[in-house]
Amino acid sequence: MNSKKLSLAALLIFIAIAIITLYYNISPYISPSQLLKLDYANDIQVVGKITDLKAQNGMTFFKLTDGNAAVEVIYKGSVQHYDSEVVVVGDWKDGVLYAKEVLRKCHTEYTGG
Amino acid sequence: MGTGDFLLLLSLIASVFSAILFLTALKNRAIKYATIAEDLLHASTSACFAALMLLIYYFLTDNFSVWYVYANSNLEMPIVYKLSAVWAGKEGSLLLWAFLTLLVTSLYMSAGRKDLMKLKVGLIMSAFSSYLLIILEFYSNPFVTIPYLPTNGYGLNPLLRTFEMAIHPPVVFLAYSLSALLFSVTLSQSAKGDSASDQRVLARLSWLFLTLGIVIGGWWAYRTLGWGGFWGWDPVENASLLPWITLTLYFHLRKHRELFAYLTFTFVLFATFVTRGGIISSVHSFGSDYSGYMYLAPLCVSLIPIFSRIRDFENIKSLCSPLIPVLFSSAFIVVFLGTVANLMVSVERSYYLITFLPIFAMITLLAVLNIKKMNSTAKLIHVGLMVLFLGSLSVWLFETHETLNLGNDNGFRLEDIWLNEDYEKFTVVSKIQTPYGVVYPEYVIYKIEREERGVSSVEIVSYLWMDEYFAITGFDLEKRSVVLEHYTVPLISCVWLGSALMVVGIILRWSHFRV
Repeated sequence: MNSKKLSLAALLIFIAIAIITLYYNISPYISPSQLLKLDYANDIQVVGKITDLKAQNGMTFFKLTDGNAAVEVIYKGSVQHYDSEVVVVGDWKDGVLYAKEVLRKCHTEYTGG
Repeated sequence: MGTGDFLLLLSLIASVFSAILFLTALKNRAIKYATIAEDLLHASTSACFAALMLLIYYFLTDNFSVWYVYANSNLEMPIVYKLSAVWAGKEGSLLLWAFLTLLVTSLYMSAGRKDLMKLKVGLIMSAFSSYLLIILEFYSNPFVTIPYLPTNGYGLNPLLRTFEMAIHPPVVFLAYSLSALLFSVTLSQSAKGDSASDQRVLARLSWLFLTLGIVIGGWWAYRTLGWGGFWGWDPVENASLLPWITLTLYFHLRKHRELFAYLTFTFVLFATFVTRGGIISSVHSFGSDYSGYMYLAPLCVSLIPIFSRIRDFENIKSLCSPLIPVLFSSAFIVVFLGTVANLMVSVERSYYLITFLPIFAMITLLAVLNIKKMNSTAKLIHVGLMVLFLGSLSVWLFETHETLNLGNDNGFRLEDIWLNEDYEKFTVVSKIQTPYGVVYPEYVIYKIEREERGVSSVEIVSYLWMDEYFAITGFDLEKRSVVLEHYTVPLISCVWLGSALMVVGIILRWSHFRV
């Protein structure tokens, strides 16, 4: 095999590895309605709007809604009452979403292109 | 029609006619058309510059009846942020990009020998500028007014109230404009295959500003976002990395490097599309404006020279190791796949660590093996790469993070917390005793109407080998408690040092002109 073919083969093998790795490292965004159908989930990303925001002892309690259904969220940290959608990353158990991160539709609008 | 609209329209008309006359001059080989075309191009540049100055004037004089000023500024803001607010949003940054594109074209057209090749460059660039001006005038106009005068603006996003954000967009857009010019010059020259010195200068300038833009962006993210990292594998960051990879590969090729000059511009347009496209629901989708799709048209056009020479990809030859094109292509594909997937689903960081990091390591290893053969400036750039690799590796793999609810944690004590207020903002200041000394992380809340008005100011205790990084993400003034994010970021200094070496290296290369 000449070096050109070898390079091409290496590249193709690599693309295959990349696609497989990618497949195992993605998680879809889901809505609160879809979340309610699950019993238990780890590291999921739920998209919705914030309602009923309360803060207590540095913890934040709020509901995340998609217009049809809402789920309870507990977050260690403060959250502002955004009007736009947020993404909550966390674990879902016993009907409560324990948030690890609350991400805004974010600043990246402004960087680059 | 307002003055701003008039200036934009003037610039657009001049630019369109300039393109038509360049075409006529090319067809008829008529010098008189070429002269008028060039004058029109300069007129277009001047009108666009006037429009930009007018927008700056509106910002400095708080003219909130202009919607874009209203949406991105407020009375209390310091002047430097009013200036950077000009390019804080989609419309203003597009105006800046259009102006820079026209400016680099005007400069290029007036310098040096005026030959047939320059006419082609003028044609491509004035056509591209016209397209940007059409988007600006009809789909993304910064001069749209509202029928009344609001008493105050909506305010600038607090995350953008930093010095870095005043310089990051101009640097990035200059790089984008230069890469458009590089595309045009390469395309115009490749038919004849004459002197490549213009291409080399433009490629180096594009690379310099692209690198600077990315590094300033990373620096800003590290100092401002409070997540203790310089690179988040966000689609926008990734999209800016794609043209950087293709342009870097360009320098490493002996044969058919022009393909990668074309690809660089294609992926500059791709980055623009990703940033402005508002595609699919994700944290990275921006607003409901679909003017981003307008960038798909030039993107497709830019693919024509690539597809027409697609067989040349078989014959590309590297300057040194044949592994280089393979490794760079792999890096490119990894980032590209991740970016595209990220538009629909969320991609874990581990994907990039598993795929990108080994390629990065192999590229660095190649640099180490070949460094003896390089001249001094190339050595400097590649040493920069090695230091950058060391820093990235260490930050990505060994960074530690803890979230502390202060009061009970060992070694950390909230000594005091108080509220400052001035005409512009509230500042929650906390005084925290840490094992690394006393730090004063703040949380700033601006008195603006904008939804996002809070930002935490990061406190960093820097050592040579690591940064101790603190940001408060929550607080309770009555109960006197804070939520503190604490990151230990090893060898982050190497990321900055490596990047700086690469930038200095490329600048020094001008004094070492090789054939």
